[in-house]
Amino acid sequence: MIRRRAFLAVGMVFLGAAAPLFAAGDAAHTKEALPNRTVAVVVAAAFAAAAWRFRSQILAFLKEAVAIANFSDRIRRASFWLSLLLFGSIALLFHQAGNSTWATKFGASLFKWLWMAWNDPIYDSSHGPLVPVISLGLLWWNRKAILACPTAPDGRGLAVAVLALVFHWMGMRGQIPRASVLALILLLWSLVWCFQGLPRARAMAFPIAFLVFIIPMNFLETLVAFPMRLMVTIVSTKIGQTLGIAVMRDGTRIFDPTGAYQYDVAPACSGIRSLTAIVMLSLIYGYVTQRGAWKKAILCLSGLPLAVAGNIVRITSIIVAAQCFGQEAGNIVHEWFGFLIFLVVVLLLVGVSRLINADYAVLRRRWKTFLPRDARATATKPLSAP
Amino acid sequence: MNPPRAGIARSFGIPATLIALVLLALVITRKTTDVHAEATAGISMQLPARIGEWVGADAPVAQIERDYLGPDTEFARKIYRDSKGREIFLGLVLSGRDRSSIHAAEACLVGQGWTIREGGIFRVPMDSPKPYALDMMRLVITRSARAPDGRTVSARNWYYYWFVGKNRLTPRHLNRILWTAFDRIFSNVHHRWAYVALIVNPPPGREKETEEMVRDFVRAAVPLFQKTTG
Repeated sequence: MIRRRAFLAVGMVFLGAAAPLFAAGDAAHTKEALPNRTVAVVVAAAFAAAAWRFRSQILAFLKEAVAIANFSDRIRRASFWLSLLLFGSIALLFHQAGNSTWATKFGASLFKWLWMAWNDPIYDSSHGPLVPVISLGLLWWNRKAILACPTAPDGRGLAVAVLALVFHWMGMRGQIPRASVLALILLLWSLVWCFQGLPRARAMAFPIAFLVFIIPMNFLETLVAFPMRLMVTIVSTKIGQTLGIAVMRDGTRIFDPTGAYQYDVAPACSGIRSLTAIVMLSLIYGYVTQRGAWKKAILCLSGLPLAVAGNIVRITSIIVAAQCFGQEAGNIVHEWFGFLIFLVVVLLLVGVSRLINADYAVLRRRWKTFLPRDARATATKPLSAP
Repeated sequence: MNPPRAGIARSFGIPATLIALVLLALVITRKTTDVHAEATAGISMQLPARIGEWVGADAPVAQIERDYLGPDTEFARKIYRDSKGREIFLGLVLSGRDRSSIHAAEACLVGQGWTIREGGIFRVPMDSPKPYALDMMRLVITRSARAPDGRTVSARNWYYYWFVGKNRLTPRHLNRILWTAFDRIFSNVHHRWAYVALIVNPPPGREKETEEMVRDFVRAAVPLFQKTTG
């Protein structure tokens, strides 16, 4: 049951993360791709349908959450208005004093800055609006563990709130709105700690931390994505040459010396957007399928190397297709098999997951039964000095 | 069931404290976001008319750039030509009170239709006004366009850039942003960073020669407009 749910959750999140990537990736080539907003609406509609399907469970979940307070009506009502006032003042802070850079374009609102960044191709973050939806999905997926945590208001959370506010102040003063977004996420988490206590805050840490992906990551393009793209181009060219194909490379351009075909390993396909989607995917996969912090960490950290591997497979398959059937065939692989990279990454994630979850004692026993009798004796014999 | 007194205190005390903290942050942030704007920059915005045998001619700045980058952003651009017909573009952008009046070159170039093929640091040893190493970012950029007669014309340029602060030099955009933030937060000062760009078109097969030409040009030109030496 859990496996089936995990599979469904990963599938939904994968579709959610991959859809805007394909839309935005195509936009760079054709400029006639599906607008990102349409994709967001489609995904939101899918989530709404899912919410309708599970409405009874959601209602039960909400009732349980409300019942936790266990206060009298009067106190509960007062708490409600106080909470509303708190969220209003947080919204006021980040709307009135949330952004200090490029005021002529964005004004002082951090929300406006985020929205503009999500819709500006320069920022490469059209997936931004989907991230809160995915975070909510992860909270829902882990709701039993979250609700099982003991709750009590905890004043220690105020220290984290102060830290978040100081961080926001630094972001404002330093003209770094991304720091203010981080501060907002930290502040949200501190509210959970303050009102529900540390155990519940811990249980909700990953879905809230996942909101980090609402931050435009385009600043990593030169730092991470470009060197990665160059490496992918070099390795794919080498593989092509090893296979006997006379492919050549000029920077991120791959071409045939006779001029039969040429391709550019462009940022739209192998840049920060693709990298972000894959890292998000591996984080979600690690979170929903693994038990134990180190296993989750391994799967999460494997995102970057797996992105490189997926890209290499994709570029190499384009080279092979172009060599065998010409430029047009390579174009078809390039245009229609963009999901190949995700397929490779998912398969590799499953492989890594199996590797870290394997029972090596059982495997060793099975291996010994497969060995011939003599070899088995040698395998069990202790090593001795000559 | 009535909650215990301590429970009520926490239930009301924590949100009330949080509201007070958030409102305090609002006031402090609004009052202290503006910092002292340093008027002097690390460069002079007057590009020389001649640099050795190179003769400069003014290059235009598009109105869209002026509109996009804020009214206090300053520009200086010249195209230098020598007697052999070689050309070097030299452009300066001096930021205003907003750090975003200088953008990451990579984003702008891609936005203009260029493709970045390679990138890396290019170091030029300087000897004036004192010996220091000037690190520049060098990008190999290409662009294809359809000519009126239907042919596809390709351009391949070398794009060099670096950032000049009042007392700092860096070839990396992220470093400039972090230094700007550091100075604003801890020194209460906003330095006007400048962005220097240099573009050449290397003829095929003469890359080494072009590299030497750039080195010589930078050694001769930079001391004439750049005050900061790192």
